[in-house]
Amino acid sequence: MSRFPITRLGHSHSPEADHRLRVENLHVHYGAICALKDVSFEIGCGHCVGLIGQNGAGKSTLIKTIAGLNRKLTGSVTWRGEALAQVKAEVAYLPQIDEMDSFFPLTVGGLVEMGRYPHLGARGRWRALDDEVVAAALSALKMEEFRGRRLYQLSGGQLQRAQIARALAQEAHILLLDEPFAGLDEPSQRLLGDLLRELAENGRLLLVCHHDLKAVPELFDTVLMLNRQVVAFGPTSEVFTPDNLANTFSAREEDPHV
Amino acid sequence: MFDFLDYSFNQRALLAAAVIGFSNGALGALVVLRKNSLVISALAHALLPGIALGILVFGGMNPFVGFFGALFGAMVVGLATVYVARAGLLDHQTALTVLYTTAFAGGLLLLERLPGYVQLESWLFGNILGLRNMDLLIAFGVSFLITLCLAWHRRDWILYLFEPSVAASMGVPVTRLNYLLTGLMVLGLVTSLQAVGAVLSAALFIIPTATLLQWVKSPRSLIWGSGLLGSGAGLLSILLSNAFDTQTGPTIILLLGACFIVSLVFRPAR
Repeated sequence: MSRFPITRLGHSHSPEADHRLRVENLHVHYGAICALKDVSFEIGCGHCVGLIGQNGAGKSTLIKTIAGLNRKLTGSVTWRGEALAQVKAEVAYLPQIDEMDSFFPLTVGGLVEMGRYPHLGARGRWRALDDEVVAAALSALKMEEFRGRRLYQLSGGQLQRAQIARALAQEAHILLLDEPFAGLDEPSQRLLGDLLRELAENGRLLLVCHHDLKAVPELFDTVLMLNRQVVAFGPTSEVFTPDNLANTFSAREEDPHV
Repeated sequence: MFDFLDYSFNQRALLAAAVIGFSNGALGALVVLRKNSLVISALAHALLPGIALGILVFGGMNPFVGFFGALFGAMVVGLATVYVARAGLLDHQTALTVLYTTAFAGGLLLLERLPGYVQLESWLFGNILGLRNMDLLIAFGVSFLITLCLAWHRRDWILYLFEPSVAASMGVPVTRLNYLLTGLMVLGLVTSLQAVGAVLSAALFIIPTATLLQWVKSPRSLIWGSGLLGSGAGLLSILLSNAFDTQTGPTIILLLGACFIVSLVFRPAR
């Protein structure tokens, strides 16, 4: 099993009490449709959380809302006691790789450099420090040799790793990943699973949308089972049970019973 | 060979072609990367009813009437399109098509009532040799503004163009950039209208970027490279159209089209 020297980035930390993501009474509506209903949960960093649910259960909506992409919401999302919207550089949103325009004129190096932009602003001067962080992020993901490659020259697994390298260059504490395993072959899935676990062990918080139930216990130490509202939330070994699965994947009623 | 520069209208045309070619070529990189190539063609048509309205309201044609009329027509159609699309009522292209064809139809009815149709013809097909000092000044102003906006937001543009959702999550003002890009497109179109006319004006934006897209590895080099290509093609075609006594507008576009074909034939292996 390969080990990535992720600690080389120097911004990892051991889980601390104040590093907590708190989602409280979150409601999201699209017109008359209720996408998320009264979602509340709280988690410290150092975890790899799987968001489990069927299509339309609100997994993507939840991740996008936490990423600050959804302004039509009630409730609150806070990180270390502050509204998450105030500390945007601490959150990295990684969309599905098939949403990415891989013919955009961009190399892997250019993509990872984008991670520094929130720290630099639109016009701030690029510093030697930024070069160092980008190099460390590329090396943490063993992507140095791909630095000059165009995005369309990468496999799905490599694209996903390039995105994660960008999140590391951003020095984000929270990584929000939308279906990162979709479309990857078996070895790439295993490699990515190891990587996500290691990022969590190094003190980051990962929230991962995931629809394939097979590998859930190996991939995630915590699961949030979602059916427009929270069906179950907790350590995978405790809440990933047949009963909860049945509720998560049951047909939705107007007002689902929990 | 450079005798023709003794005439001030040729000097103005040369300056205008270089400046308009640069800013619109550079802006075109954003238009192409945002996949707005069709939008800019549609907007070019939306300018005309605005100009017609301006002439009708102010009773005659002058650079200000033309400029602000075109601005008004395209702003109304462009901004209404962004609004309708953002409200989730229709997709962007459908909204645009509804609005610009409606506006154009209204413009056609206005045209019948106008005196001085000949002047209007030069808006349709361009007349870079007919530029007055005031036209040139407006072109300089617009080009400066476009270039400034591109440089001012440079990293924001790149994030916005590549992945709007990631950009928004990083705090980039995506909505504001969306409106700004539309506004700059309109401004740029008004200046290329004078150079090559409504029918061909989208080409000044699209072809330089389409030519370079196979060759560059970063959005930054695409933006400024497209500007340089647009500027160079503009300058060269003024010389060519003088040497071969051809119309300037079509000469610019044909030269750019030739560059595109050459770049496609010799493109690097993928």
